[in-house]
Amino acid sequence: MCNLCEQFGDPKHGNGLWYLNPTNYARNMYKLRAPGEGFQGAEVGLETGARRGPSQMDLLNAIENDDYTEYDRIRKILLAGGQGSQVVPLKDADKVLELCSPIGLIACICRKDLRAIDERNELEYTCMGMGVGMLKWERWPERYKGGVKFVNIDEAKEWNHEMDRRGFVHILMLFGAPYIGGFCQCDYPDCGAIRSAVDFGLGPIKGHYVAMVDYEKCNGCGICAQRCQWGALKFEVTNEKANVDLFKCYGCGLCETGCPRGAISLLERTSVPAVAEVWR
Amino acid sequence: MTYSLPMGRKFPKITIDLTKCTVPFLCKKCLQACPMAVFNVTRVMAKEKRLEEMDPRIDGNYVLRAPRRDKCTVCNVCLDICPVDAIKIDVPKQGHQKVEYVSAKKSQQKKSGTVEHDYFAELKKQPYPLFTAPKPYSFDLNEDMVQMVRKDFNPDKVTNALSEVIKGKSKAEAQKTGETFFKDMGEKWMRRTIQMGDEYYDRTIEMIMETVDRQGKQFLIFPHVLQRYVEIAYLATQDFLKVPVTLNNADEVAYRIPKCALYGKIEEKVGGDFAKLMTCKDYCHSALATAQKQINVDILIDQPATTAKEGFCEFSMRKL
Repeated sequence: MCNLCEQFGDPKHGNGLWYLNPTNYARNMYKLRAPGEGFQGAEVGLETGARRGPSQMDLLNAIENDDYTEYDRIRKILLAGGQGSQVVPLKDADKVLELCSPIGLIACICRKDLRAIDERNELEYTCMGMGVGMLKWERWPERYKGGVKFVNIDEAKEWNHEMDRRGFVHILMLFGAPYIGGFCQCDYPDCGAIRSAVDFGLGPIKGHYVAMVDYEKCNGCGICAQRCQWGALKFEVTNEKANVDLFKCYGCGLCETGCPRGAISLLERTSVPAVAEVWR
Repeated sequence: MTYSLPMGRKFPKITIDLTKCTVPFLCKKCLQACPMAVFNVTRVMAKEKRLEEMDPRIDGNYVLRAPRRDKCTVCNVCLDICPVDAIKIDVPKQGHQKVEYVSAKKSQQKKSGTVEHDYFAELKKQPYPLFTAPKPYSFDLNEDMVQMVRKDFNPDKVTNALSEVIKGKSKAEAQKTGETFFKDMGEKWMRRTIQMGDEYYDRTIEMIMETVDRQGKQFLIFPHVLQRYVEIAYLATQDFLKVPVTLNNADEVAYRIPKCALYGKIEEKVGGDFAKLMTCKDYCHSALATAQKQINVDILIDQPATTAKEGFCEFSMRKL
């Protein structure tokens, strides 16, 4: 069981998976001010999100200076900060979308920040936000916001399947635990989450599944190897089949959905003893 | 899998001349060109300016950084594309050795005199397409409106009116009278809430109605329009500052009233025995039924928990 399920899971819903517990998507639309008190944080309505504490740039400096104590200290802080997101395969993503309202398609902030991609058209949006916070999107910083398109459950599912077809990984994000507020669609290198995970072992925690290849069905076409964003799946030349490194596999299921022969299946992480508790 | 980078490894050192690269937010050419997405543009995080919007057209409000320089391959694409020659990369070979790199493309341009030195000035002249001054929207409930509902329907007032009507009646009679009283009162309570809620719009409900009316997206009416009425009604009559919503999705809305202020008042003024009869549940049920009529969506109202039994009230509204 991952730390998120331990904290926010409910055995009554979805086998205790935290993201299938509908309570985690529920939130009040309004709140009142306590007498004499103002709002804080994001509720102020303007720029918030000023980053405090060390960043990955400090981590790089520690590596260059060969300072392991400093490296370890920063890494621990960053690890604690990245506890709030998990990779979710498409089959679970469909279930997730039935548990929240409203669902809004938005412009991806990471792509804007790291790749200068301005998604200004509703058709271009590559990120999804969920919950009542989406109704207040206009209070986001100007440098982030690019509009919201509200969609119903069926439209959201269709959109998500299209993103999966294109090859994006679905990562579910906590926004103020236990409230789930974002469903990122990520790829390497312009996604902050996947970069942290692949380059530093930080970022989101792994999903509840791992991919397994059925050698009987696999014909070695290599489509899955193109779709893996984690460097976990490669084409093994010796036997001309796909080969998954389960220690690196994040269980996003892109290889499974992309395989034209249905040769890859997602196993429960717990059913593979060596990786059952490998979450990073 | 524990991951660690080789300690002591040197990465390319990328220095950005901030006197040349003044408005990176408008340019971002290096961000687009870099094969490994090494760069990003970030706002200057001065503490006193933390809550202010910053216009990206003003020099120095945003800075270009290279947070992912561990991935820099020194391919020099960024040097070629930078219109103001602000980027310098030192190769990590044996410490940080300085290497002069003169781009073939750049030197040709320079010879022919095509480098635009007033490149940023041109960018700044264009109106920034997304940047508008923050609008004075309020996403919160109008406090006066909440107080106005509270004036007529606070637990004190409702309990006083209740004790008036059941004064001197037998237990069975009092229960019957109480139920009728609460049914009637609950409807009035929600009618008033709807009237005030519709009169005092905030940006949150405006956003919902714009989506519903202009884009024909009816799916936002349930749960969110209903949820708003419910939240106003309880915020105006209970002591908490936010309604503990336990579910809100396209099928179901549920919420909890942990320590009902009305129940407490009935216990105090009319008596614990009468409170235990839970005649007050008709108050909430009738209010929810009124709100349901207003939004005109078929829902099933249920109460899985009551204060008398479980210590808190829980209501759920499921779409049929």
